[in-house]
Order: sequence, then C-alpha cells, then structure tokens
Amino acid sequence: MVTAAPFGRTDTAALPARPVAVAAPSPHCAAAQDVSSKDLLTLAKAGDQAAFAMLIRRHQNMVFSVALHMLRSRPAAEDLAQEVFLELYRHLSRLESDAHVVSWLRRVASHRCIDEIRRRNHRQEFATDTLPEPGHSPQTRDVFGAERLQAMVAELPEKARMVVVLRYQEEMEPTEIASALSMPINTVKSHLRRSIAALRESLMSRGRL
Amino acid sequence: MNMDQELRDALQRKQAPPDLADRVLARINNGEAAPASNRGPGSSGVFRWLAAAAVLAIAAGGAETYYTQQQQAAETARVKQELQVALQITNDTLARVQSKLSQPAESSGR
Repeated sequence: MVTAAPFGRTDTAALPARPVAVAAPSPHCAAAQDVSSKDLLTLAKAGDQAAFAMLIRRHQNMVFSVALHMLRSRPAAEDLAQEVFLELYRHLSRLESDAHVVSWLRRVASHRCIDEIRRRNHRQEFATDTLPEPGHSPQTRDVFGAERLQAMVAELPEKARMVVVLRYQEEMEPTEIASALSMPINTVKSHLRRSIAALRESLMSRGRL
Repeated sequence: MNMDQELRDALQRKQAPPDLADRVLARINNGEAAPASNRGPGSSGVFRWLAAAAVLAIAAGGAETYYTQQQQAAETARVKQELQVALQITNDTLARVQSKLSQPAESSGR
C-alpha cells in the first residue's frame, strides 16, 4: 500500500529494482542506482537514458496519481503521464534541481489534466473504464468509502478538483497550489472551502458523517 | 474520522504501471520527443503571441488608413459640391446684372 508522505517526497523506495529494458548502454548505468538527485538530473541532462528512467521512476507515482484522480481512468492517466514525461525530456536542460523537477511536473501534469477534462467535456465523453484500485487492504481502510469519495471528488469542477487533489494527494500548501496553477491564493482557498463543504454535505446526505 | 483525513486516504498516491519508464524511453528512442531547442519558432508561445500582435497591428493600421482615405474622399466631394453651388450663384447674379444693365438702354432708345 502506498502511504501518504509530506511535500517533496519521492517514490524511490517503492521502485522495482530492475534494469531498464530499452535504455541504451551507458557508462553511468551502474552508478545511476545510487546517485543523488542532483547527479541524476545532471546525468539525465547529459543524455544518460538510464538516469532519465530513474528520474521517471522516482516521480511516476506522483504524476500518474494526479492524472488518475483527475481523470478517473487508468488508460487515460497512463497516456497523460507518458506525455508529461516526454515533455520533461524536452525541457530537461531548463531544470536546475530535483525540487524544480517536482514543481515542474506538478504544474505540467495539472494543466494537462485540466485541458484533458475540458476536451472531454467539449466532446461530451465520459470515462467508462473507472476501476477500483488494487492492493488496498479492506481490513485497514474503508475501501468503498474511499472510492465513493474519489468519485465525489471527480464530480467537482476541474479547477476545484485539481486544487483538492494537489492539497490532499500531494499535501501542498495553498500558496504552492496557487503557484502551480497560476491562480490567486484567495481563489485556491475558496475552491478548497467550497469543495470540502460540498463533499461534506454530500457525505452527510448519504449518512456517512 | 474527519474530512481532511478521509480525503487524504481517498486521494493517496497510487502505483504507476511498472513499465511506464520503459514506454516513455521507447517513445523517446522512436523520435517522439524532439528537444525544445530543435523545434521551430512557431511552436513557442512567445512567438505565437508576437505573430498575433503583428497581425493585429497591421489590421489596425490598415483600418486607420482606409478610414482616413474615406474621410478625405468625403471632404473632397463636399468642397466640390459647395464650389458648384457658389459658381451657380455667381452665374445667376451676373445674369441678373447683365439683364438690368441692358434695360435702360432699351428704354432710352424708344
């Protein structure tokens, strides 16, 4: 089970320890397993694909989860995550630190999710492939309640939904969310206040609180 | 459990597909991620805005020129009309004067 962690966390501990199948052989490949974040970025910028793969694995859960919570579709979330990392590859030379990479990924993933939802709304298409997440123990979590809450979050307007996902998935502060979404801080707070009120009201009407 | 904690539990991170990095690298090796510096200037947001501003400036300049020309043409037509009226009045006046000058000569000749 993936556990929540504070802002700036990475997913390195949860990574599968296996080689990158399609990466070209690199003199840095063996060393890439234990290099620091800064060195990893430097190697990736120098064209080391193994280092870039490591960088992806370090942040893939964050990007994928933002997309999944926003789009409620695993295939769509996978596609969006791939696009975000392709864009990261294009912009590697402009990024200066791992913290910069994290904030850049959050910003790009958020904007792409909002764009995708607007495209879907425009086409009047709705995801039909929403699947329950595997790997959670019913003994420790109210799985059905969590899924119901995810579905209710997914019904929020796209910007409000993005604010809620960044706040509760990524545990970002309102100022950080405002910066990531290019949104006034008061708008972020307003989205949070209204969204939580709406979710609470909806849960109360279903006898959950 | 409070609402904040319920949301944290519901929205905690999920595991990405284990082959996500491999698929991204395969697409990179397939040439789907040309570096930003190799892309044409048209793909940059700044250049798009500059191009749009240039088109707007040209359109505004053209509209102003057209409006000025229309104003000048209308002014020319108005002056021409006034000149014609003035000439007509002068012509009528001269005809009346001519008529009055010729009357005494006719009456003294009788």
